[in-house]
Amino acid sequence: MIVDFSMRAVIIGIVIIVFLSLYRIVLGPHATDRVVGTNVVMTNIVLAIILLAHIIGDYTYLDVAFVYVLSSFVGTICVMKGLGKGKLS
Amino acid sequence: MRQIEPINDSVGFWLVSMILLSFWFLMSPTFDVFNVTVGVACAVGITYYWRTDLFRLGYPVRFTLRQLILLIVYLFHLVYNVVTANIALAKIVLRRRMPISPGFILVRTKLTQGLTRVLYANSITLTPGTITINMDQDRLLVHAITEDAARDVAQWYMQEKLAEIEVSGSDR
Amino acid sequence: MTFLFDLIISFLLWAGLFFLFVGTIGLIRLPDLYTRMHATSKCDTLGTGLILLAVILQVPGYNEIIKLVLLGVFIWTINPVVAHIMGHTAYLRGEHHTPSTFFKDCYDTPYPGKEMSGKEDVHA
Repeated sequence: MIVDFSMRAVIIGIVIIVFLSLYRIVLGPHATDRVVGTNVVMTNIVLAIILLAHIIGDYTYLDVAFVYVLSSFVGTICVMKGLGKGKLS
Repeated sequence: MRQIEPINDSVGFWLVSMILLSFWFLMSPTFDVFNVTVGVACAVGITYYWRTDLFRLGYPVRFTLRQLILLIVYLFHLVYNVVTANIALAKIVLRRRMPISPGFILVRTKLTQGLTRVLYANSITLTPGTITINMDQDRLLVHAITEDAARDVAQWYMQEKLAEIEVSGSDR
Repeated sequence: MTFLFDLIISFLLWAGLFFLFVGTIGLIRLPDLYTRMHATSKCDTLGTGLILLAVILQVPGYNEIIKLVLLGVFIWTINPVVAHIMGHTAYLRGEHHTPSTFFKDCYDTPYPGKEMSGKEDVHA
């Protein structure tokens, strides 16, 4: 009861956090600021996927979370490599 | 016809293959013949494909039991430090006038192996109000959010623990 | 007993949400790219850990527990690495930092290498 209410409320809070970080994504003065905001959105969406998988009761969505984490990591690294003029490290 | 090159670290080869195979079995739904065959083929093939990056001469992939226990103790210390750093950061952010004095500081580590250096850099990023910007050999460029954090990071006690992990596995 | 267990899980969930919220507030309020990265990398990591712990305490099987622990390990290693790469790229691009930023060098010997030296006089 109380746990169910808390999980649904936390999902709503995560959606609010995503909308708050859209502020930095849209209005960020530099390109790297936008990437920082995008990274926050990615982490929060992974949490939302996990909580939804627990509420629905179908744990195959955890594989979706795995794929989302790894692809977000690779995507961020690609964007940073492009911003850093082709060189990392 | 290319000839199969020999692997110079067979223990490390089978260790990495077993880790990949266990991840495959975690993801696969059943244990029939098809899944097991494809899993073994993928694990060994991927490890063989990355052999030049994983297994270099003089750096064998292995660890002792004492190193593993010390690493787990280190991780508990890391969790404690992460919690305290987060509470400190929340105090900074939620204050009305934020008391920040940011700056760059350049420190030197005494760790010698690559993996422990990476662990140390990641620990600095996670814990005491500092993030690692760049790392070159044994020099770390660190950004600190307050001046106290910059003073603390030069002699941080977690470095001694990592050095102890390094020393206890150096029978090679 | 189950009520106490539910209370603990709810506390973990709300604490995780609080830390995620603090990270986003820091992302909005702090004046500089590097300080923003402080907020996001630390607070997102701890908030993720707390919420994952709350889910781990109530899933039924071992398979799901192992998967959730692996997800936590991935996020706890990926977040500092991404912060490191973003800070390094911003440093190479010469992004804006707040004017009150200090530069300090812990040892005396100057060294070659353009990337590692600060923009202003580090050795002053």
